[in-house]
Amino acid sequence: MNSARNKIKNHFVGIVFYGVVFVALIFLAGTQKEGTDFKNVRELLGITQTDIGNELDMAVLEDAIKIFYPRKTATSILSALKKYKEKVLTSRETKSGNAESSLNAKLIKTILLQAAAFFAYFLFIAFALFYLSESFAILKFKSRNRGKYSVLEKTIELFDKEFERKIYHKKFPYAKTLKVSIYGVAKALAVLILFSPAYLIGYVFKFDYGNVTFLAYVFLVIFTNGLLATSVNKFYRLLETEKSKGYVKTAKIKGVDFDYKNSANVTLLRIFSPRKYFGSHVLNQIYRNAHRQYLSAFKEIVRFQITGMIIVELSLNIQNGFFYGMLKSLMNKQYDVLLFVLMLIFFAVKFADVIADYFFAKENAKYEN
Amino acid sequence: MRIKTALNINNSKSLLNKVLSRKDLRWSALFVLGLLFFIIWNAIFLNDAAFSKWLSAIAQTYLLGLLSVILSLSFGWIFALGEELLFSENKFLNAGFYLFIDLLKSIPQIVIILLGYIPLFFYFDNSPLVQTLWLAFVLALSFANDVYEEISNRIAVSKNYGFYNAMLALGIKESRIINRDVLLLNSAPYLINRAVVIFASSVFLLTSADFIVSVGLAPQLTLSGLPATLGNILATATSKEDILAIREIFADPLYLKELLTTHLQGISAAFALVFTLISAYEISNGLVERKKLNA
Repeated sequence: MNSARNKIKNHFVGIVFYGVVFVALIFLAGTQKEGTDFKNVRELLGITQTDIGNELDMAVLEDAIKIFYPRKTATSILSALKKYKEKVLTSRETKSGNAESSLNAKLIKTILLQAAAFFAYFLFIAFALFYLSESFAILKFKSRNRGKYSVLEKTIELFDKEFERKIYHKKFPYAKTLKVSIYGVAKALAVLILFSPAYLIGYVFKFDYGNVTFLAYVFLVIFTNGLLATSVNKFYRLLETEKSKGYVKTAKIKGVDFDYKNSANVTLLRIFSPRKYFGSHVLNQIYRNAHRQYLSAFKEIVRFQITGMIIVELSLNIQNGFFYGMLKSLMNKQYDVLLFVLMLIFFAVKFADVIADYFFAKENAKYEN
Repeated sequence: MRIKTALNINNSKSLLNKVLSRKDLRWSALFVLGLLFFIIWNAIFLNDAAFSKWLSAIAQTYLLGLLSVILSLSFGWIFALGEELLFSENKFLNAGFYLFIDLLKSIPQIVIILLGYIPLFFYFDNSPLVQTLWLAFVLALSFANDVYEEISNRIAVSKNYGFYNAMLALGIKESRIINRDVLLLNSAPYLINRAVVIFASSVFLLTSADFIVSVGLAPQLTLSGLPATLGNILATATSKEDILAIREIFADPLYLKELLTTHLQGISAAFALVFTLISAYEISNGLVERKKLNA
């Protein structure tokens, strides 16, 4: 319990330390961007309501400067004005039509709203992923413990048997081999989808340029980029590690329910239930112990989940999204905006860490008592 | 002829039997053979210009993946050894190190890689060597924490065994115990497994980051001058049309032939990426099962 408490305390130290660092860097980036010369020029343009792209406006301003300032100061201001004009008119932002001011109250509000939407999606997907990965891993675990082996091996086995006419059907020769082969092809397609990057699946199903619905987005994040496959594998490995421990062997000797084929305790309904309970079956204890460890290990998967969310949003051009703003600020060299978005991502990951460690500590406390 | 007899499975101690019976070796062989098959197939059906572009992209992607593996293993090793032998003796150094690791852990890898493009776009010259090394460095930095945690875990586990303290008591240097006895003799499968995962993740993240940059930042910023990777190829209009054409096989399964001959640029780039990921996943799983590595 103390170690979990220390972990949570360390997370808060990290949040405070990097919060201060990020805020300092944001201010630094904001002030460096302007430069003192340009700051004066901008003030001047603001007071005189001058449109920098309008030749007449600029000529009037230049004359006014020459009249109201001594020659030396006027020359310096006019030179700064010329540089500023060149910078603004030739800047990348102006060319692309993406001109945007640096971090201001309006932009902060917009980013925070986008961050709130991202965070709601993030939590929903994290819980869905946690539930699905556990369920599919238990299904795989059950299937392996029933003695099922790979589809390819089964196809070879069946083909050999049918070849030797041990199970040969006169009307439909090689029917069983064909059936298993079709299942194998379907499984291979599912594996291809699971390991495909989201943008490939997005393009195949035409999920791009603003037509990505909530469900499509969730589907792409969870079922592509290898996210579900790796998280299922992670939990499956924990189940396998638990299975080889001493208490399971002792339970087997003592006659606890070990049947994965016909047991009423390990049904599909129980496997996919949100509150998983396998009665007197040994899987119940294996699951409980693996689940406790998975709570802590899930932190790694959450980071990969955020990576998946970023890939889906940016590669499918979902505009007005949280990360799209990050990409735009990177392109426009708006480092203060970029740092602000980075800070929010950092906080989101830390928040997930704190939640995972809290649940882990809570689960651990049950065993300690 | 029976398939098992033809393949000589279970009947002899031949090399083929050894490869077929071990999942990690089986998938390693399949990966190499599959890659060779892609290259021959593309040499036949792709035009010369597209083929050389695809070949250089795949070579560049794998080269960056390999460099990232080497560098991330080195970074992780330096961090773990530093923590064990240097930082723990100095309070401030220790705190600084943990804060640095905390930052690496808390920024998603794709963000670190996208940030790595800033110097490439705005500050570096166009030297291919500098760009390749920089990208490999950024990729390695994003995976350094994984290696550091793996090595730290292995050291922590080894400390529970008698040999570690016994060797220390005999006056053997701790760095030698860690490098030779812990890492080389007792943790090699763990590190190989980690290297396989990092290679696949590097290929995936680099391709995705290149794709994002090509799609999201074009036409203001282009990747021209940067090393060509599978991501650049996938982001071209031709490749997108090729990927879109996949849908045709749902209506007409015979369209598969067209897909594998005329829409080859996008399909082969996509398939090379997915095939690499699946192979790495299976090799890693096979290694974990065969060597009984702890989860």
